[in-house]
Amino acid sequence: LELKTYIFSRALQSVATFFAALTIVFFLFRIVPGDPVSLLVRLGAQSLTAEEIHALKITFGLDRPLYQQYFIYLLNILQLNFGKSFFYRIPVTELFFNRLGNTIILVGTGTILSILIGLTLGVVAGWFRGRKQDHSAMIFSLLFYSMPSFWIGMVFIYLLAITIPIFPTGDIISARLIAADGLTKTLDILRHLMLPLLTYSLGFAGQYALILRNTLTGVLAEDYILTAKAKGLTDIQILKDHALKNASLPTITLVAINIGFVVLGTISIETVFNWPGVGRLVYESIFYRDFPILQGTFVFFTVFMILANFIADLLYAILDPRVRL
Amino acid sequence: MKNNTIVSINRSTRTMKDKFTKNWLLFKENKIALLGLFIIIGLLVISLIPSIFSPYNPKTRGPSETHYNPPSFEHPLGTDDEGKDLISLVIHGTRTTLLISFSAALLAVIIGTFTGLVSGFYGGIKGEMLMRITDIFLVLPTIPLMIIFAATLKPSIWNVSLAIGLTSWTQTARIVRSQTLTVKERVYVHRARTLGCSDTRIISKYILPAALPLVIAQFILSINFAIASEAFLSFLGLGDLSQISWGSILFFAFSFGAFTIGAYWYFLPPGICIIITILAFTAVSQGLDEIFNPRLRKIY
Repeated sequence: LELKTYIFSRALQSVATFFAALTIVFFLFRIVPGDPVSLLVRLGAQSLTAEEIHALKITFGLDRPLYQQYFIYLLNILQLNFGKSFFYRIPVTELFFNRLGNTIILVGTGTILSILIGLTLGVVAGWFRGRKQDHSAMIFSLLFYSMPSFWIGMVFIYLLAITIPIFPTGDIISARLIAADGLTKTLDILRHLMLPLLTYSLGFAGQYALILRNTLTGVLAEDYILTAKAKGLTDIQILKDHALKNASLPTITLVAINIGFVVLGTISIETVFNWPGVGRLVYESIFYRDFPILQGTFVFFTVFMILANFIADLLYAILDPRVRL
Repeated sequence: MKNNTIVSINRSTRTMKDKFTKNWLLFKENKIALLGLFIIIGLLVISLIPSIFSPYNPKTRGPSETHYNPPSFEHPLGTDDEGKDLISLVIHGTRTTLLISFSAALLAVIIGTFTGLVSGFYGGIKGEMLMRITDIFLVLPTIPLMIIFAATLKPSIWNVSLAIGLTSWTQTARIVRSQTLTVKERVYVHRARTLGCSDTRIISKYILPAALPLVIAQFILSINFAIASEAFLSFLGLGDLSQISWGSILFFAFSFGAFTIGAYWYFLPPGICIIITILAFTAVSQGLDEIFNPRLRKIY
């Protein structure tokens, strides 16, 4: 198959997945006992006035037949119209874009750091399979892999912010520095970033190390590695030219499959550290029973995950022409 | 003819038993996997009869001077914000956590195996359509869907299991499908088809058994995913907070800021229990992996 055709069909499939996810959620709200209005009330609309509830009904088209409701629902989402937050009383999109930058800071730095740590650990463990280096790298990775990320965060706060007060317990900036000049402010944000970043990267490094080590051991058991050894290549040559290249493919897919954990980690870590990002919005939407935010963040994380999957597939197709068949 | 059938049944049960003994001997060699198995059995026993192990009733609140007490002789793991004994809470929490994890994993594996088998098995236009439809569902965003399911359904043990199980089957489906695609092209399957075996029979007699080791491995991985998800959903306040589980203990520890007032005995034990359980299941799955993937053993 032509690469273009492949990309096109995958793009089409991603769009279909997006609509499938939206449709599932639409029907979920209609399947649960009680009509959607009372569900909205349970999800927090009780703080609204009668007029506001009426306006809500109009926005979601709850006075219309089901198929019209469905199209109104899709149209609202495609226009990024999620309504106003019940709690903050401002449009969800505005709230969302105010928070997005903070999440990008955390996830961006965290992803780079976790890939660096994870790949190093994974290569060491895979290469020294069954030896001391392997065991220590694996114990470390498995431990962090099995810890809930919010729990790692709680432990770090207890250790490094309470017992030995080096870092702040949470937030993105000290209240007294909000009006400070550029450098002081940046340094303060960095100080606040340290613990969330550490939590994020250690949790994910473990996962990446485990994946890479498993694929690497698989590759190292292949006959062509034996051939390479027989040819008298050095360890570094074998690792660099033969093993890592072949191990990188499955690693990319597996990392993409696990992209959901990025979402999970973002929500957990931002909540524990009171980091004002998009992930914390999910927690707030549940805490304040704020349905518009819940729906808005759902759509955002859905798009993010589907897009990540799509990019991984593309990379895979470019690196390994066989998958296009 | 009748005799022949009996002989063949005898033979097949004997080989099954032999296979089991052989695999058990191999599994026993892996001491870490064996330890994992013992931990899981121990946890199951605790979750069946928690009252025998717990020193106090986990729901008994104490007077204000018993709130947030550090570990002591009377309370080995201290007390929580209401004076409840933490070791009793953690012991009683085992049941809910394991119940949710097992039922969610079972649901996920059943849906995943079924989808994987059906979408991989059929050929032609019907198969192609099934495949495309499954492709759409295989990349559904698990975590966001799980959150919205849990937020919409009324929180209860079964609804939390449902929210986790209904959203976490895709990986099993993907793995079972690729196995089905390989196995259905094997000569013995073609032969069975030529002999007139029905699709159902081919699936149940040839394809499912070939996929079974993978299904078991996926079941264990799904349990781990469900344990982590239960903790995560409870932490967000979406679990059934009237039930004691490791996740709900952590939720209250977080809500009352146990880690900011230095009450390490409140949030450490449930987390450590989660870690030990996940590690135990991982060890068992590694042990099984070495049996079913002989190539991994060859290296040593």
